[in-house]
Amino acid sequence: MTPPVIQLEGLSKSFTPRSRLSFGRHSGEIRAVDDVSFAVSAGETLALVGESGCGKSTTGRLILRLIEPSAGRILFEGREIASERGREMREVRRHLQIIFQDQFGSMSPRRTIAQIIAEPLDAQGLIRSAQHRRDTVAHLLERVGLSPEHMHRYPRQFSGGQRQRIGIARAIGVNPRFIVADEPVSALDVSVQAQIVNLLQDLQEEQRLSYLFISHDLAIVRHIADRVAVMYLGRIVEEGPKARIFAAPQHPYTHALLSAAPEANLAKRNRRIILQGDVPSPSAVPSGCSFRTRCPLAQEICATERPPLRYVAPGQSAACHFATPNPIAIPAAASEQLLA
Amino acid sequence: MTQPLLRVRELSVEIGPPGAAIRVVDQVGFDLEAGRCIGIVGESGSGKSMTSLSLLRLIPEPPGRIAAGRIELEGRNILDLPLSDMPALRGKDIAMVFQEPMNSLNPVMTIGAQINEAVMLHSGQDARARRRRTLDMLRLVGIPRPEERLSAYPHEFSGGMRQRVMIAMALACEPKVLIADEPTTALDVTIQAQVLELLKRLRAQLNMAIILVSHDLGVIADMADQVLVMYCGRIVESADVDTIFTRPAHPYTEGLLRSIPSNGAGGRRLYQIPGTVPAPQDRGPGCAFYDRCPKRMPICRAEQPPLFRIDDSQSAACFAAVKEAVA
Repeated sequence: MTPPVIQLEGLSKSFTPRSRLSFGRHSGEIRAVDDVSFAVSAGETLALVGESGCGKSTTGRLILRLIEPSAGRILFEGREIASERGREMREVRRHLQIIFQDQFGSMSPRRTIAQIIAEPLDAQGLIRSAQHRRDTVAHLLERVGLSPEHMHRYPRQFSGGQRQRIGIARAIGVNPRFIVADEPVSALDVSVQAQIVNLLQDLQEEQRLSYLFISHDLAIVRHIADRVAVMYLGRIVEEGPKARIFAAPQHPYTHALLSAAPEANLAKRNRRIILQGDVPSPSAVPSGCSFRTRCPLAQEICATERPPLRYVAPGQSAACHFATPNPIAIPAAASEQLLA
Repeated sequence: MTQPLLRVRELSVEIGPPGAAIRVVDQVGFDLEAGRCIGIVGESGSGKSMTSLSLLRLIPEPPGRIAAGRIELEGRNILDLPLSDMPALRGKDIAMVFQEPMNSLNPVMTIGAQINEAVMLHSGQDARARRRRTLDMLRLVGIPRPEERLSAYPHEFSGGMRQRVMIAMALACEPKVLIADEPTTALDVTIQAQVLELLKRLRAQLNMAIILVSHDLGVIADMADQVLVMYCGRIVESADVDTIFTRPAHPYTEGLLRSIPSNGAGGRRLYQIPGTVPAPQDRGPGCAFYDRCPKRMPICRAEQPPLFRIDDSQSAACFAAVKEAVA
């Protein structure tokens, strides 16, 4: 059996805030990513969802080693890369690329589109001549639906949707196997979003790309993902095939997250669970289950014992003491009936 | 006939020097009754925020200006008032909540002092009454332990709590109309759900009218009674919420709804509206949606369609929609 393109085993990242910056408060260790494990196969899209600060972007950056993990293993096609350096790491990076939400922030305003798109190619030493460079960039621009005539323009001369296309062209130029797409359509208008999502799916089909699709927009996730992993305070609380996650979520947090998203399709509106309060600070994570302070199902055991991520149904696991293979029932007191 | 709380007619806003000005809001009109919620949707640059700013006469001037129209609040055209009367009206009659509360709150003033200031500017109450009112407002928007929170600064609050403070401040003087411009766009979904619930509850409790500006059709479907769809500065469709989401009349509204993943046919590809929004200088004399429209006819290129009434609950600025409705 071929190994997954990317596999994470117990990946963790802690930050220790420097005491002089913490204004005399208790400076505990912040576990931004805590014991995260998952695998992404060739041609597959795993969506990583959760609220701001849950660690989903940090996880994406750890895989590319843009930040260094504190513990755990990262395997690329079965090969451990968490400790690779220098030439070996550069060779691996060719297969791992990233697309950002704010492309403008990731592009030098003083470089032309041609220079920006050729950056990873230059870094990998894949450009043979000036002519080769022009041809490659022109071909990449065409693949993402932009005109090759635009290659001498600057980022500011493009709209948000076009800049997202440029970012995608830059990422696919080195023929990667795996792309971290970090909120790639969140800043775009609805009609432009559809264009970019379609482009990402076309490219995936042509090149058998794997995506880690980081997003807070569950409607898009439902469309694009094969599997979904839900993060809360640095940990994965539920993971499984898209159809299972959306139809029979096992973790109360997944349930609440799904029901909180406003639905534009009137026929699909359902009971909404309103979570109380905010996400706790990552420097003061509650004992036991970290979701218990907002959980409508919380019992005594939740404060004392942290539930492990365990099997609940084929391909689906959840970190909740009360997860069963059947759909969970949230008490009516915790939710409210929407009009009609 | 009773007059509506707010009546807007032929409102137009221009930006740029006279002669070379660009019309960013073009002949917008609607009625809003007490206790009702109008949702304005549209993509970036459609003129939805400019419309809401102009209702408070907050368009930066120059380069912008309200070029034409009437904004009648309880029968009185506020565009006739001297600008010096506007501060008294803002907050007391019409209040506004913006997308990013951190930009609207003063970072070096406590939350309590900021709400207190809003109360003081609009009422002659003494300090004790104002403090009581400030606490009531914080309680109303669901901030726990308000007595302790009075002396906290904005940076000590989370995004959702800051938005609650903004709403508390906006509601401190019991405005008749609350304009909420993308009030939950910067918030996570679970916090967004809390803020939307809060707005619904306050609207019912205070019989307040709400103008909700958003690009998120889900938020609009959740909150609004009536929906205005804007494209290139004009209202292209106006209908009650059930009608617009079940049988949109304008091809642009239809395209927007079809581009949302959960509404699509379920196929692998999402529906895409062809082309992009035309730049102001590229717009012809006809319908601004002409180049992207699947239902375009020769007349659409030559003539700008007015907002046609289709039935009691729906109007659309589209020749094709009218033809279909008559047929």
